[in-house]
Amino acid sequence: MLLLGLCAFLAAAFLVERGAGLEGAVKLGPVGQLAFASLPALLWLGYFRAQDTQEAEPRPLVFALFLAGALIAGPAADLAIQLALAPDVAAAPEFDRLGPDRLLSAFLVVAVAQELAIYLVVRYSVYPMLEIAQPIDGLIYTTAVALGFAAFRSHEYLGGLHGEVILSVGAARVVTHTLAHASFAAVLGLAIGWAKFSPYGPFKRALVLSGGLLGAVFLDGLFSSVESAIAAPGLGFSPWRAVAFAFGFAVAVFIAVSLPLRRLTARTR
Amino acid sequence: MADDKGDQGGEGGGGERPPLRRRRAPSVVPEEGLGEETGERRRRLLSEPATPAASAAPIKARRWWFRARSEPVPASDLAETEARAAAAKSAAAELRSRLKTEGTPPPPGEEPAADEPAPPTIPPGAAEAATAAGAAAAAAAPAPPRRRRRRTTELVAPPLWQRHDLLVVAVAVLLFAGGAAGHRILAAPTLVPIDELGLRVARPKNWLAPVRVGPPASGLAAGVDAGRDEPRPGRVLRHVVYQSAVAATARLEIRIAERPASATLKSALVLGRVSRYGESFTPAESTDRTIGGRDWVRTQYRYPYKSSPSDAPVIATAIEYATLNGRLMYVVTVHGDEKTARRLEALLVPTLKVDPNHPAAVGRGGK
Repeated sequence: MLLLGLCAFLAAAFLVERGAGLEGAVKLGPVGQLAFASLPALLWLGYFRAQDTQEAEPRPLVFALFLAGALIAGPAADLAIQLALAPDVAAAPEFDRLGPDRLLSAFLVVAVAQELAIYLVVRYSVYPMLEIAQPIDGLIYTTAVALGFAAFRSHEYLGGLHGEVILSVGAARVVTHTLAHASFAAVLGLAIGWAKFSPYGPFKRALVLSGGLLGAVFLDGLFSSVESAIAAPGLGFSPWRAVAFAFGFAVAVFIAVSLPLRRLTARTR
Repeated sequence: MADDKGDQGGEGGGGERPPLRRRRAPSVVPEEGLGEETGERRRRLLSEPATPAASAAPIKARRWWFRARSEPVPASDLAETEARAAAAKSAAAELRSRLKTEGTPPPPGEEPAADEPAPPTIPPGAAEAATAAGAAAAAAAPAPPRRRRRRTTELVAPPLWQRHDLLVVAVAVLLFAGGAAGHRILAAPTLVPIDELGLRVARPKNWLAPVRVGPPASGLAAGVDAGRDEPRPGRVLRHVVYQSAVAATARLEIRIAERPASATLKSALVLGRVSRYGESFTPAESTDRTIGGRDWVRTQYRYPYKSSPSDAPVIATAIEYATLNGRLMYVVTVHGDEKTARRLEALLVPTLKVDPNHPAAVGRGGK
């Protein structure tokens, strides 16, 4: 259902572009940019909340965490990345997408900043609350924050184009961001739910949380490195390859996460 | 689950539950829940017997530092405790009455307040009876089971860094700092030294090949009259520009001319800028700096710049360093927007060196 919704979003963008005979970019106003960037994330959010069949999470809290992801985690991670990766005018331009500098910055700077920002928001807001009553709740709230983060990144992307976007390409980028961050958050949220309901001491709990965080960081770095190499081979740019890769990546991650999640849920009942 | 239902406050009719009050964690204390009459949390009194269901199931707290299982208190223990409390009360009352009869004032802490109701009087034989009853109950009750000693570390709240899992944050911050440092090392610009007529300076390796600059159109410029064969004071010997491959305005300009014959260094520099930019540049104050044991004149100014004839002009910033060496005048200028110019200044200016014994500087050729 969710995948159909995302496909419908992509198809709608494509059909509007073709149907209206739009050759170039379309100017989106501030509200249009916001809606365009947030719609896939909100679709995902509805999907995840619907998955919590036992007892649905309170809507205001889920939406508050979505906003926290967009307004706190996103800008904080962005600031940290800009400070760490300030471009040097005298540095050599990097053309190798899988060069050591690119990989190092993708895995240890960008991915760590993004996932740490999401983790901090979840750990120090909703984690101590009674609202996380089952392991899957950790996944849902983490995903809500990550989807807000994805909406922030999408809005940043549209803002970088000054609102002038080719609809199909823009929709593909936004959907890619959304799928990617939702799948990273699944790993991190699983660890958060596990840590919350584990009988472990502080060190083991920290190990569980660190493992989840590092897993999400690894997936984030892997996705961004591979996606940039797939979507922009050479000097060209093909966003549909990125969307296909993001779909496959997300499906694989969710299948991988669902197995330990089921076991964990059964154990805590 | 009974507690959970009680927490809902009778809204099990399928209505919308209030937000943020969805479920309550199961209470650590047995029989603790919301009372049916008042809706407030009710605590089981010690005099009330524990229900078999509650006493059968061990109680687990969710917080790990409260993880120790509390064992149910048997009814015999309750009776013993209450009997001992009654005996202690009666003994205290007896002691108080004896002190009164003997005329000794009671201790100030035990003086009853005037407005407080008088304590209930205890018949003389009641204390002994209660003590005897307590002793009998204690003797009749079976020996209490040996309790598991709780570890004291579980009762002490863990330190802050454990409670808030700061270890995870520390690991992530270390990773981030390591990544940023590694990126800085890997992306550090590589510099290549240049040696031009006794002037040594470094330039970024990956920049474009140098472009020779022709004389300006103005007749005021030094060396503009290229048609004359004989050398004249102020002739430009080298004038090249190194251009960044990624930033259009980022450049390194090196100009080596003969020492101005009829003007000071600063006035010659001003004349050269006016010749090149006309009146469109913003003059700035010059300051003296010592680099590598030699005094340089530093001047920062702004001017309109077009990277190509079809481009729109932008305001560029230039930071100029100039010095005299024998018969030569060296002018090294970094260009860019203000941030870029400052970055290039910090990177390249410390590499400035001058060879005072270069043949061109001392007048023995080398042009």
